[in-house]
Amino acid sequence: MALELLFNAGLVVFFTYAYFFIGATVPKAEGPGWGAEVWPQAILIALIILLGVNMVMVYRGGGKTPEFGFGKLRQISLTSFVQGKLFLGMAALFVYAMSLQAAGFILSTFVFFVVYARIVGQKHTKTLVVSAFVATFTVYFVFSRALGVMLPRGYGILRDFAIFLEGLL
Amino acid sequence: MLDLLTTGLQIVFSPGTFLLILAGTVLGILFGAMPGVSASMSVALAVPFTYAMSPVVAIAFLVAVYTASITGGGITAILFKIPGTPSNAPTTFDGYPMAQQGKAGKALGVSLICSAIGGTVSAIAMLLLAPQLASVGLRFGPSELFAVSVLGLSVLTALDSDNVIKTLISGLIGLFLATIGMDPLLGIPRFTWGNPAMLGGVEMIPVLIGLFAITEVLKQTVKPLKLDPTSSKAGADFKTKLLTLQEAWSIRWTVVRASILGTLVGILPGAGATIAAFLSYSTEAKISPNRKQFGHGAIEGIAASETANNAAAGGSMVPLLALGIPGGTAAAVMMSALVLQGVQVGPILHRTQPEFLSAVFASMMLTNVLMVICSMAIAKVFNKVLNVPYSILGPLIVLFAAMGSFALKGSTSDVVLMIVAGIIGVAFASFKFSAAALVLGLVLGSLTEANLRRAILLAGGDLLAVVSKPITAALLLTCLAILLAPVLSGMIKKKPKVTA
Repeated sequence: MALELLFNAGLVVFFTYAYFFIGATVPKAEGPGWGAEVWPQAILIALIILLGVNMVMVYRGGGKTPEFGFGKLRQISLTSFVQGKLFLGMAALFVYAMSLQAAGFILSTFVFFVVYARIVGQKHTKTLVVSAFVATFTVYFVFSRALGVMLPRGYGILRDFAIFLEGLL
Repeated sequence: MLDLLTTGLQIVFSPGTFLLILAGTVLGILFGAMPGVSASMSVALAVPFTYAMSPVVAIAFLVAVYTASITGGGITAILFKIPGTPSNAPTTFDGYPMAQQGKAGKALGVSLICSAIGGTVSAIAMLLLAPQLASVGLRFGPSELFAVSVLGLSVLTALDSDNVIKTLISGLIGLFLATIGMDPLLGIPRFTWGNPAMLGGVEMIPVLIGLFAITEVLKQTVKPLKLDPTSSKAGADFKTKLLTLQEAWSIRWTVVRASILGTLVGILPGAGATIAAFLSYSTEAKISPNRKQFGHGAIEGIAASETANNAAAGGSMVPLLALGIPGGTAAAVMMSALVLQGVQVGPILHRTQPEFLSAVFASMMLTNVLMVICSMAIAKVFNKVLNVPYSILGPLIVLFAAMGSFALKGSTSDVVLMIVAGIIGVAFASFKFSAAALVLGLVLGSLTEANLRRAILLAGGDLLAVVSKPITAALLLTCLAILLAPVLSGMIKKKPKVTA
């Protein structure tokens, strides 16, 4: 409940900022048509109002239950969230997306596959390595060879390594 | 008319052309099933194969790829919650829950048969009424197209009637995301914060894949669920189950409505299979007698989405063949392929060279039959994948999703966008916001804004003149009726209780 209110409040803050940002950064229109800021601002006003209504509804709905209160915010355990599988999964996905360009497709995909499969629960090392190898090269063949997509090769020594591996295939 | 039909059948049943259409169907299903490879991208990928073909065979082949790719996208939407093409997104709403209930075979059967019916209806409409339909489509100017978009948005509340406020917020967030990038009329950057990568706006496909596939993988990371595609053990004897007569009869009106809606939306320039599928799904979610089951595995939901997107595929060929104006991106790619072959595409094409219309019609009819047979075989192979433990399947889905997003522009920023969308999807699911409404807002956002502003500009700034045009007014009144219907029906139901 408290988290939901925080989520909604975060959205309200962001959309309020966006409302003023677009008004300040876009030049006013000349002539009969609408300016570039009118449509986004109309959407943002509607969003802010509806988020406000939603927050009131969440607060009223939560207020009926005795355990609800803003004190609940203090009970949100950041440590257990960070150590949880969901956070680890999100972090692995994010690191994979960020490393694709620098480390190249083959290396980053192989490492990501092993890490993610381990997070989900695969414990056998042999299965992890073999499935990561098969998956990496299956996706490589489908996209690079069959569809002609230029997959990232990485930078520096990692690029040389990727080219070497591709040369072997 | 009979001449056209005979010519078309002669073209597609010549051995070489038949084999090419078969190959195009298989290729289309496989491309369509691949996340990130949209129907228009499938056609573009198939264009190089046509260089060695005659123009008539080339268009028949490309039509087969296009039609089959939209159907192929339904397979992964049902089995893995990954819409192969954006137009298959609404199929995930009921297809995936059905797969989780052990009814994947039935869901696939409904999807295939309804796709074939939608495609066939639009092909017949194209043959019989191409010039008339195209002229109706051309009457839709910016104000009418704006009203069509609003009609699509007005059914937002149908996506989750229990959380109307949250669904509206989700839809508005989608509309807001659609405003990021270059302004459609004036070319002014909006919400780019000086980052050139954001000038192109928020790409729909990575957001779609992120919200559906990545969110699901993240959810399953916490609580892995072994998908059971059939009620049998480990899906060993998986079989696509076609509709029984009783089921077919029960969804007859859904299929009729979706076929008509899909064909008409397909004809409209700028609209397309994605809008048709969402519009049809949302309409059925409002009016179907089985609407309470929507989102939990209703066959009407799959029927609405898959019939409409395939019907729209046929519809988009109408302006191309009747007037030489491509109705959508895929039709534009096909037009380019014909121009490369030296064909003069224009309003007189269907009079001077009617074999093109015949070939397209016959190819669509044949593809609709072939794709049912081919998809059943291909779905069997895909289903084997479901037997893989989720610890392997989950990362594999991420890889295909990531590369599908990357393949769009060859940019890793789209992969990052997909991951961010996936994480937002988890937050949305936790707080009961609607990812589907966000996607609908994103799909319709730029179309709605661009047409409204264009219409206002043409009307000299007079908003009243825009909304009072006959077609626009009729469509906007329909929107109002759709929005007010649940409120009014609620009031009518409450009344007797008060008096009692």
